[in-house]
Formats: sequence, C-alpha cells, structure tokens
Amino acid sequence: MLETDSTFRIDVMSVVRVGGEIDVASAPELAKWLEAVPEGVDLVVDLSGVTFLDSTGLGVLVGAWNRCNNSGPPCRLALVVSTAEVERLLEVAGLSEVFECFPTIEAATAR
Amino acid sequence: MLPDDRSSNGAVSAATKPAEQNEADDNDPAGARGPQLPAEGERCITLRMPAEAELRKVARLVVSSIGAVVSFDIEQLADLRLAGDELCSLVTAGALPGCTLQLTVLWNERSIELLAAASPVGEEAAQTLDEEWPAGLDPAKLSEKILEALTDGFGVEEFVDQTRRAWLRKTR
Repeated sequence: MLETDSTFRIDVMSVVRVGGEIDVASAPELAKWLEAVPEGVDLVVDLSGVTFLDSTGLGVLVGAWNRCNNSGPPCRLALVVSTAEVERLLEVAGLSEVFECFPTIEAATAR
Repeated sequence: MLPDDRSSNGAVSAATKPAEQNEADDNDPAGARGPQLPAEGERCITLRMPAEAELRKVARLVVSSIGAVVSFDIEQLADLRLAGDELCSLVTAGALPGCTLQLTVLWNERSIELLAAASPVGEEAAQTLDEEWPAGLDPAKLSEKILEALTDGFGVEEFVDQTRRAWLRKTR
C-alpha cells in the first residue's frame, strides 16, 4: 500500500513523503499527489520510506521532473533517496544524474 | 535443465522452440507452460491470475520467495523482485479486458528462470504518461533497460494471437 503525506510551505516548497511500494497499482495515486503541487513551487519527494519502486513509479517521477523543467513554470525537484534499492534503480535507469538526489530531507530542503 | 537456446541479447526465435510452443492451446490461453518440463534437479511453480495491477505484488512475492530458496543474497533478491515485476509489465502492456497473466518460475540450485505470458493483449500502450523524457531516455524501453542490467538474459515475444510472452534468467 502506498503511503503519502504532503506538507506544503506555500509558494516556497512542497514536501511529499512517500512510503510503501510504488508499482503499477499505486503509481497513479502518487501521480495525483505530485500533480496537486502548485505549478512553479519547488518540490521535494521523500522516497526514504519506499520499499519498492518500478519503472511505472519512475515514470511518475519523470512526469514531475518534466513539469519542473519543460512544461510549466521553472521549479526545483529534489528526491530524498536513502535506500539501496531506489538508488540502484535510478542508476540502472540512467536517471541518477537527471534527478537531484539527497540522503536526507534536511539536505534536500536546505538549499 | 533451464532453456539455453536464447541469445544473450534476449532474442528468442520461434524456430528454436519446441513445436508445441508454436501452437495455440485452448486449455492454456496464456501459453506459458515453459519451453520444456523441468529437468532433473529443477523445480517449477506456475501462477495464473488476472492481469490486474493490484495482483502484481503476488507475483513479486512468489519470485522473491523462490529466490530465497535458491539462496540469492539480499541484493540479488531485490534485483530479482524488480526484474520479475518488469517482466510482468512487459507482457501485460496493453492488456485487454479479461487478460490472464501466467508466470512460471523454474529453478535449480543456482539459477532461476521466469516465463511470463499474458493474453489477450492489444497493441502495446505507451509506457506511463505522455511525458517528455529527459534526453537520451526512452520510456518505452525502460523495462528492457532495467531487465538488461539486472538479469543474465531476457527476451520478449509477441504473437498474432494476442499473446505476449517474455522470459528472464538470473544466476546466483
């Protein structure tokens, strides 16, 4: 089951904490959470509670990256990645250099 | 023995398969009985279930459980679980109503082979969303890219009878 929580710092930054498994069943729910973040607001997605992530979930994260970099007002997207599984998937998929990744939420929100 | 008639780039030619694999079987619409019966020293489990997203975790659970039986280490188990999930994604892309997913797990003391088949499936849907992906990344090939990195070999076949099959092999 996907667990999500969103903490908004209006007009500054939105932090979405995600836990559980992100797969073909739960990725649409994650997409809804990320799409609910106002355009142009910096976004931090905390994946430290994620126990499984597949290509469908990656697609949702790429969608958020795209909104920040291409389709909407420019904003920053950062990921909190603290598990070996998620880190490995990003690397295998060639996305580890695309996303800004941080080991803790404090590091991700410090900038 | 595990099938060895597959090239490392994943291609499987219909001509190299047993004749029975090329024929439709009314009792086995998904057609994933495996290329051959398990040989001595091999074991086999077959899952057959609706190709529903909510059931994907069942496939992952079985695959990782068998991986533990084969004594894969923690990292290998994580890779196998993801690879099994992506294999299912490959065959169920464009699944039509009533689609059945059949997943066969063959294993011996050091290797696992997964054979997945789904039927009926339509034309493969574009993966995920209509997003513009970062340069150099092809979303339609993401599952293949992951499988290439995490397995010792894989392949995908598509048939005109609305069945799609794929396999992977991973060795400890």
